Amino acid sequence: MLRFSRQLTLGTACNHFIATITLTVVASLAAVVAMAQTPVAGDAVEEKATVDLVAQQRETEWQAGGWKMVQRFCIECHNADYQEAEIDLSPLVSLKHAESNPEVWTRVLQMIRFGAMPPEDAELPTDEERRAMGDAIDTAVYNVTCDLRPKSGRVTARRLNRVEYNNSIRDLFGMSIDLSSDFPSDEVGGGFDNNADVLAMPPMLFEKYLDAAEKVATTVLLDPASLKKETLEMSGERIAITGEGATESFYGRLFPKESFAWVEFEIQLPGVYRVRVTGSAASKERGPQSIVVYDAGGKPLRSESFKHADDGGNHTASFDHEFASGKTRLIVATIDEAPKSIADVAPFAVAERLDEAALAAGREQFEKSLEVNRKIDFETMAFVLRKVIVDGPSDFPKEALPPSQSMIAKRVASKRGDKYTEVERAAKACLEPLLVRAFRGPVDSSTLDRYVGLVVAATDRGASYHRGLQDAITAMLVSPQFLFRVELPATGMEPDEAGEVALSDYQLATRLSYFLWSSMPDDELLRLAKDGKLRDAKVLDQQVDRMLRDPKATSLAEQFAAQWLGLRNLEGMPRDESIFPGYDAGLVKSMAGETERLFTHILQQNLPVGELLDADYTFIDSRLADHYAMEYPAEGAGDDPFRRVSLADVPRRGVLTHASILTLTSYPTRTSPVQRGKWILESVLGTPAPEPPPNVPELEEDESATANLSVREQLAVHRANPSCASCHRVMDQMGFGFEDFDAVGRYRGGPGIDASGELPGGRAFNGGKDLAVTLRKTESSRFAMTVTEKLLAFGLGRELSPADRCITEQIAGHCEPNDYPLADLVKQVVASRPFQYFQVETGANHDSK
Amino acid sequence: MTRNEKSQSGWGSVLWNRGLNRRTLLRGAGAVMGLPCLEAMTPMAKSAFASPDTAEKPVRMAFLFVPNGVIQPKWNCEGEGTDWKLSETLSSLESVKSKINVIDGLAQDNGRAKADGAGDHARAAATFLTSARPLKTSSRVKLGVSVDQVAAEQLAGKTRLASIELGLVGSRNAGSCDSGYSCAYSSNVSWRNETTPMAKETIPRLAFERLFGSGDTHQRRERNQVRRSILDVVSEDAKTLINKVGDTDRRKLDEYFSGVRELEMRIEMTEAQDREALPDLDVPYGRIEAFREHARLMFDLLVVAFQTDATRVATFMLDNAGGNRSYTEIGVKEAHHGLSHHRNDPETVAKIEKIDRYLVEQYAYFLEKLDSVADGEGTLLDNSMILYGSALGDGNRHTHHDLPIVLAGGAGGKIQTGRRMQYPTDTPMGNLFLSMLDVMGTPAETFGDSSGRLTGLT
Repeated sequence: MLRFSRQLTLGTACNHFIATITLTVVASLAAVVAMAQTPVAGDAVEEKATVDLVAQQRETEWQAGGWKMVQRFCIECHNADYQEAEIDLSPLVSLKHAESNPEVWTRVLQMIRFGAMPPEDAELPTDEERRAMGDAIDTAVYNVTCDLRPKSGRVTARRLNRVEYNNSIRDLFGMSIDLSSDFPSDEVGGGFDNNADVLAMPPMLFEKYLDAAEKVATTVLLDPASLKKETLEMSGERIAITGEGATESFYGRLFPKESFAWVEFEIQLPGVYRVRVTGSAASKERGPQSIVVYDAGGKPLRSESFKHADDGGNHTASFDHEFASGKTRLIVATIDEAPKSIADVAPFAVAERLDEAALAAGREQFEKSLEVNRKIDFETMAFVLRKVIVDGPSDFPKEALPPSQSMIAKRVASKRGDKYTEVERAAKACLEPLLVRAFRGPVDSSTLDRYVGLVVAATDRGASYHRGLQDAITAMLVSPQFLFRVELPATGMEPDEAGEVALSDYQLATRLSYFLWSSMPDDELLRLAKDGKLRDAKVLDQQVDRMLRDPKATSLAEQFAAQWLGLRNLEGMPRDESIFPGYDAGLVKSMAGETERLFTHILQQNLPVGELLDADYTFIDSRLADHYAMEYPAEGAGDDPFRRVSLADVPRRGVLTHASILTLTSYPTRTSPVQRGKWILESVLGTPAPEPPPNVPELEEDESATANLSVREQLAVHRANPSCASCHRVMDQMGFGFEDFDAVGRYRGGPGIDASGELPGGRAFNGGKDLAVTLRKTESSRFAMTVTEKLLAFGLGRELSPADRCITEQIAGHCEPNDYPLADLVKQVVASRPFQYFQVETGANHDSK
Repeated sequence: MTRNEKSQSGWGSVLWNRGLNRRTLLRGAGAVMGLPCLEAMTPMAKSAFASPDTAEKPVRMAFLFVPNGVIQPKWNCEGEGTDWKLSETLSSLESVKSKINVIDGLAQDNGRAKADGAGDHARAAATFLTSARPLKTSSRVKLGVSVDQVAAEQLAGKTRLASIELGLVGSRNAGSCDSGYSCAYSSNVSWRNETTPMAKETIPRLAFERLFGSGDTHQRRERNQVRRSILDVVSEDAKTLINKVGDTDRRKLDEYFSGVRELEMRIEMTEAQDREALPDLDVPYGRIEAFREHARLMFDLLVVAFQTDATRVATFMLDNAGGNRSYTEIGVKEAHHGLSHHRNDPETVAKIEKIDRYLVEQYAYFLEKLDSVADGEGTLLDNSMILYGSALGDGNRHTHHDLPIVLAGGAGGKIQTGRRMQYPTDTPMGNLFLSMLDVMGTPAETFGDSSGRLTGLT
């Protein structure tokens, strides 16, 4: 059904095909004329004449061929006087009608090729006639739309959808913060949720963006001033003594040489703390006593000699120490001689001296009040420990700050007393690189000044510099320049006579990254854009290769494939528990995972896209292995729970036999051949079945005794009705092929299951595997075409129009010789004119950046 | 419960009971919900929330949408005028029968196929509150402003929120929703203008915060000040852009601007109001899975929202158009939409009847709750207009006439209730909307395909 030109290859523009109608010479001449990008002015008159001649010739051909058949089979019901379904096809008499109404012609073509029209109770064309009529209309539409230079089309300013928003934040700051789950779900247009036209911005969403932006700003950049400082003071009963000890009247804790004291406390924020140890030597006679402070691991931190407090005064040793967060301890023990250096002190034998029992005993003591002993023999004691104070943090180690902190706060305004100085200069240095990345292109000075102004305003009102940066980041994340992708002609880029203009390097980088990664361009893309190199075909090609290798390219599976194949609808597909025990959200996730893995594999290996239909291998996790009653391979690649298995001995091939697709095309209690057939028509063959006519007659009027019939028999009754038959004939047959799989995709083939059927053209099959292989063998081109259309719609973020067909045929045709490798298709989409150009909207004023 | 026990229950940011001692513990799904003693709240509501314009007696309006039509023989009541009996499907409305009107004979002609072919479910939801013709497209949506938004626009500034849009199910995430119609048509009934559907809030906690704020008063003032200056900066960004773009892009940026403006307005409102007084309603975090709990929690929120005059206009979709929920809790395992094409199979019809009844029971819950709250001289229900219905009549045949519609509440005495009102088949639903807008004090000259006011309502 698809014919790509092999006779004619016309450079970069659209391919041409020569159909059953013989127009070869004239058509090619016309095509050359039409394709010429810069016609020489002097030849214009001659060319015009040629074009007119061709048009006239085609009109004659149409009226003698295609129109005759439309007249014979359609006009009886669809004429000006009697417009069945309010459709009048009499204007189809002239090809001129197709120029302005391509969608009418396309619809007629679909209905005829699909077999939905004429209805069974009218005069029916033979298969041969049907094909000829289809081809004639096809040729007519194709000529009309593709003779003109294909239009690249307009893409409306696009709001980031939920996934794009999340990913952009992730890549902007290098941190994963899930925010968008608070956002309302995005609407779907043209099959995808990145469709510019339906991505609306109701006021409620704007408010959510602001909430989210505030959350991001305070997560990616900590304001040191906002961090809580604390003072932990341990004295009296908070000091534990292991071994002999006593408590003097002012709750000082005394211990002899053999004993030691320790304190326990919890650090909330890691960082540098000031430690102060207050105490004195116990014996007035022996004089000064040296002690060592150890950390929880027994490492000596500080040694100090304390005098006796004969005048009642205490002595304090203080030092800085960096603590990690969590529970920790400090140990104070005596040492006979003051060491020259702390390095000379041996570690404290924590394991022996402060074991679990000692710790437990100490902690027990924290709970009790102390008994003061007024008759202490101070000479038997070595040291009085009065308190340990831990104060801070004064400074934060890098780990305490988010990874993005140093990337954002490249410079910090200095502070004199309460006043910051040079706020503007520091803020500019921080914000400019950030804005360029967030806005995906250069930022003019007045914009930069506005954002810097927010930092200045913050410091003016007495808030910290960091708080000001947070405000600026918040603003940046709710700016239309971040939330929307607006494409305007770049400076010096004038629209051509068709009103089209090439994307700037930055715009191309942006389209590319949201297509392949559902996220913002990375530094390499932005650098190439800055250097003006990205539009170089070779560079672009390399970049696509690089991007597809990147783990971020799994978004093509999770965003593109999941929507194209409908995997997203798996959630919220209830199954009757009594029939399908164990069906739950976890299994559903595994199901989608299998299909996404196969897609990613085919993409990254650049395999023919048709392998999606008949791959004799797949990827399963242990949950699916159980579900399929297959063995889960003991080893796999990397730490992915999904592992590759061969399907050589299993009656499964490709996605059509994946549990995901089989489940989402079933009802809660049973399979649905109609749904399955409909899915294949839509997702594989790219020909969605027309919806049932609005006034479907009720079946039981003529078939009241059908209650006990099987699904297959009921559908047979269905097809006996002429207004249903034409569509259901094709749809149901394909669905029957998968009857050997149940409503959650488990194999159930064998006696009693009839999974046989026939595709148009006598292509008989028996079972899902057989049908999958048949589809791959006979419908590869149509499948490739379907994928191409979906890829282009997703890549552009707009619905395709009939005219886009010229482009999709060109893309697919390019990849046909190698059997349509998937990555090649992606590259051709990127190379296509609609991806690289855009239509400037009339009324737009293009003196922009 | 003491304060400490409460905060340990892990719900955070609970709003404390101020002068209200009785707390009713409500239902489960693992969540305990304290609902205020509503009568007790009324005096506070008056002092803290009532409109400054005391002369005005506010009327509230809500529109509840259910998908897939109904089994009409079981829906239709017997009798006429004030002498009538509730049908089986509507039987749960017995306790409020004197306060409702069952209105028969209404139609949404724009829901019909005409030249657009299939897609009746999408068209049903699209026309439900707009009476306008949806453009058949899966992307460039175009419809019309909905009745709630006509009212909301005129009431803007009188309440904290001009309107609230609630639902139980978000938009579908893949594929077209119905025969080439964008999912936007199936999943929204409220439309701000021709091209902007009002997205629904489906998570109760988020709906609560949108209505009443998150309750932390300490930093609000500074935050508002900062937010204002942030809005100034980004408005400049938008203005710079808007001067360069064409018409379509400008429309998108206009949406952005109205978001900015609405927020600015709300900041002013919140500053003007006494933020200490928040309704004493505990709403759990996260999604609620069970339909009934979810629906009733949303109804509770609406009651408090109306009671405290946080908003006067609401829409609530109990499911999206063509909704396929399985109501297993009432023993119906199969999906709703699938069942609705029952082909007159008695068993299937019986299942749909069950669903119809069950959905009306939720409506009854809402009405009874509204009726239990004193408001002015009557109850909250007396001062409201609560419309319930589907925009398909017969779900099996996709009809857009003889729509099942109930309008509850007397709108502050402006509507006589307790009647079954029969209008000629194909009376435009837009006529009812025009009359409701009159009652609301937010009149419009015409609405969608309206042909005049609905006679006899007021």
